[in-house]
Amino acid sequence: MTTRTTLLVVLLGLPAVVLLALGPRGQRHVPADRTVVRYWEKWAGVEALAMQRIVDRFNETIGAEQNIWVEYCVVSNVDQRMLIATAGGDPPDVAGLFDHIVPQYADRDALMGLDDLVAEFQIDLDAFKPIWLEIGRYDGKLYALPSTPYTIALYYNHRLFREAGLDPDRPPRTTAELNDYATRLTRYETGEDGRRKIVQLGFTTSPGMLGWWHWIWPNFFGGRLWDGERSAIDTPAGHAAAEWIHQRRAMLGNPEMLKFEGTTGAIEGAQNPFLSERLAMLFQGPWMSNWISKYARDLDYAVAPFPSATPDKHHAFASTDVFVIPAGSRHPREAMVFLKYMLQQDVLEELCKEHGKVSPFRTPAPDFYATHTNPFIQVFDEMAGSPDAFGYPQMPTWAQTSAELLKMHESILRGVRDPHDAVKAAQQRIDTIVDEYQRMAAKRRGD
Amino acid sequence: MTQRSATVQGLLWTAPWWLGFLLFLAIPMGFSLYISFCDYPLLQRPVFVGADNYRELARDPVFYKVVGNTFIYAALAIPAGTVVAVLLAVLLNRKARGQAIFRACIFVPTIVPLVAVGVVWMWMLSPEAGLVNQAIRPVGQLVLPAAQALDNATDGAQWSQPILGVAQDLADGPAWLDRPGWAMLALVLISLWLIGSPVVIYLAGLQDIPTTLYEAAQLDGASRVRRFWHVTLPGLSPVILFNVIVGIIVTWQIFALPYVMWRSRSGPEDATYFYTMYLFDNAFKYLKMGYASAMAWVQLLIILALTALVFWASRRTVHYRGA
Amino acid sequence: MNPGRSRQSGTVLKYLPLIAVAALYLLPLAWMLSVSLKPDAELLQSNIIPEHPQVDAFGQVMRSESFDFPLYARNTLIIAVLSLVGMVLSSAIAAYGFARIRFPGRGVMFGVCLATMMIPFPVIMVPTYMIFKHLGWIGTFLPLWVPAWFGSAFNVFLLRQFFLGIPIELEESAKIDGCSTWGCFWRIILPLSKPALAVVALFHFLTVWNDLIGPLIYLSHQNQFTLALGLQFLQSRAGDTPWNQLMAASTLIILPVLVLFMLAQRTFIRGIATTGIKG
Repeated sequence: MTTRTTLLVVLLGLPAVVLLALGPRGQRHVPADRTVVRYWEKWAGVEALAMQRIVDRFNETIGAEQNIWVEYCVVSNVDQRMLIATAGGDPPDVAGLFDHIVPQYADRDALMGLDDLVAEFQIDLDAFKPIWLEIGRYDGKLYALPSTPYTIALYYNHRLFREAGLDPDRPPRTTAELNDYATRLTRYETGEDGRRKIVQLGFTTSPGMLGWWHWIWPNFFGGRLWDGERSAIDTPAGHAAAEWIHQRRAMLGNPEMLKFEGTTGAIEGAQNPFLSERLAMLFQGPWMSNWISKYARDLDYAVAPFPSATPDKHHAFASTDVFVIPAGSRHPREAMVFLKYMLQQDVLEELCKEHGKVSPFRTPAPDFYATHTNPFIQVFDEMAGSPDAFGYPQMPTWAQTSAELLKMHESILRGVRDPHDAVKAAQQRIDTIVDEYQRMAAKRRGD
Repeated sequence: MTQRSATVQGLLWTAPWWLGFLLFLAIPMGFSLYISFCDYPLLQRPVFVGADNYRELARDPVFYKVVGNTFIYAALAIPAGTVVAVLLAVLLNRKARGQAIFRACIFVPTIVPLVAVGVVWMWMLSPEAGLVNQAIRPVGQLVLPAAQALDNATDGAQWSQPILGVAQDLADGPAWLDRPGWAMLALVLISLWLIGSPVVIYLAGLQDIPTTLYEAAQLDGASRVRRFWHVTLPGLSPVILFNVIVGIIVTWQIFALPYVMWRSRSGPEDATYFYTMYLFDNAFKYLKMGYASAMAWVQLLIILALTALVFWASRRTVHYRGA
Repeated sequence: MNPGRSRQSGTVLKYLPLIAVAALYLLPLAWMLSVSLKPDAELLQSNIIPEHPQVDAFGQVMRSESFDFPLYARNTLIIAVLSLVGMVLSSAIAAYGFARIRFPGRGVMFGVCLATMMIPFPVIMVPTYMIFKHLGWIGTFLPLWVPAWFGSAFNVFLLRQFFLGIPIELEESAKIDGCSTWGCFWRIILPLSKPALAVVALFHFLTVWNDLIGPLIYLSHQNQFTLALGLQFLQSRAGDTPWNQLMAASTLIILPVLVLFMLAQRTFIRGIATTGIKG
């Protein structure tokens, strides 16, 4: 027992004492009499390093002049953490959120309105493409400023196009054509057990291979999910989108597709089937080229705008990470000094470039495209200028609505429900959610 | 000692507990009961709305879905966990060299951070290269001909289809994380890997069974199996009851693992969307704190009811020594 | 029959299942360790033994900019030690009250104490948060260890059962010698209860070590983060999670608890055995 105890003390106590006594590596030293602006951001890894470099530069220049010190913090689940901290009276001064959360947080008094501050600090909003500011507005007020924006386009594999007898310089121009291409780009093999297997898939909207945009499809058929009052999924566009997905799966063989989707790696990183040329067309953002150059350097591919239902329309999905100032921030003015610095074209475009995103400015700097890691960045950038460009539906109940739409999408994919019934059921559920929200809001106002 | 000084002394000694109870349980519970009757989005003041939250809960299809899922998970994980934990405990209770190391092997998984558990098992269960499927496929290929023969013999009868389907899945290696049924089983499987704490408690329970009972049984010529059924299990029954109740509480609070493992958070066709996850989503994603509080109270009632049910059902089968 | 051979086959029969089960449980851990030793290029291969094992990932974790291992380890340790001391002491004191002091209402109070074990954490999570907010404790370590100084129902129950098993005569004779109730508790009960206290300590240590929700809710500054919370930084949404670093960090987090368990497991199991959870 005594040797055991000694061992215990030595093995556990010693490192503990060393750790407590010597402590951690030096934290960044904050110079005295600087106002600390706490900045919470979701970016980790390489993206965080890029931002940290800019923050450091701010602290050495403008920060030193105006006695401001920005402290960059990587925070997981930043939206929820910010909310909890705000409720607890200890919010950060700047936070980096996703755009789809802005309407909800704005409606729940979690964000500071920025109109006055933007005017006071003379930030030139006209320099930005209008859609990137539109995304940050709710109920006519500005709550969020764009940080690193993106659009989503169609990546397609040149080699597989050629093999299927398709012209690699002529990507699909309508959604119907995309289905047709998908069929021609899908190849099967029959296994020893006599069952057919997909070895190469043309296109899929399966969430595992898509990312976060399961709700998006009606938009390419001209539908918009929210008009400011009511949600609209049970519409001709909604049904057309459901039918489009259903038809493709019926044509390609749904059991085979499910099998392929269930056994093939997820979209993130190296397991992406587009990289291993098992998926011919992919709906993805500009950062995809980073994965390609990292994991599949020799891939012969191109990027085109995602097709709409009719060739005369150019629906394009635009979304951006945003900067907000939480309600209850202790140093909103100092935060604004930092944001003004961030929103200078050269600074922000440097960040966007390092993150593999597009530029939020009307006229990107001449070398922005030339030095960008994505060779097709101009395609993405031009999509944001399309008159039919759209962002996330700006509904305060988006979080819950999106969960219902995911359910709808999944039941169409898995064929557990007739697509049109699924659309109608989703509309009902979302109506209930919206009604409930509005009823509670009415009670709150005291009606 | 007078009555009064005894009371004072008793209250003084138990003060840590009842002070903590008042501060960190009673007050929060009272408050949560109140806001369960409010609309409360966390940053705006709570507004009283009567029983609206409970009424909405009764109409909410997602609520029924998560209750169902949680019930299914509990109904699978608790019995499976009990059987495996008791057997492991018996195995680890034998006198053997290096038993400490064997015990540690079973116990280590419980100290692995859940984020890592999720990632490791996503690899273990990966459909093509995962170790689990590499082990399962040969079994499935053995079973598949039998299932096909059955299907042929019954002319593809309705009831033989699911059997054939499962056999086919096994032969290919199931897509664990992408099919509702398999996803649930995957979680049960992982729960069996994280079974260290109950095993330790069963081990202790085994050491509490007097050796005289075993000796007497041996004298009567009882076999190993009979000794297990007639001495070990009755002796262990109070501990089993304890672990089952803890199991109910724990399974009803399953949260972190599915949260880490499925990006959609709710799994294929919502199959791994559990009660506490929906509660958290309501509280911090949908900002419906009042609704979440109502859910929490319903959860407490369900757990209490299940516990009472288990006590009632076990009144004949649990043996207390000396009682 | 050769008795030596039958003993041998007995040994095989005894160890075979033990080794098989242990191997089964170690397999995922072996994978974890193997990934932590793999260079980036091998991460996606399914071989369990790395072709070119290297310990770089451990070094990267220790030096990483975004995941400050020594700092998080220190924070976790501070919280664990502070709450451990409080949990053991106050649970023991309350348990002694329930076990030895006869006072009116004791039965009811103990019943309530047992019932509180059923309360799921979500029921009280939000209001508890509000309380800490009013106390101004959000963003400090306080919410993570102060509640432990009020004991927990489970541990009070565990220790009470243990104390009931200690013959009361010991205390009675000490009292005749002029020992106070506190003296009895401090000098007789506590020294005799070491195994049970060890159980409380280990279970509580485990809880704190792996707690994710508490730190997630209450801590707002990165330099306060705990290991379990900090681990999330190694998971990146952008798709380039450094798997080997994540697994290396997890291995480092497990190690101290593993050593603790190996060394203390006998005391630990004896501790539970004699407390009698039989209720």
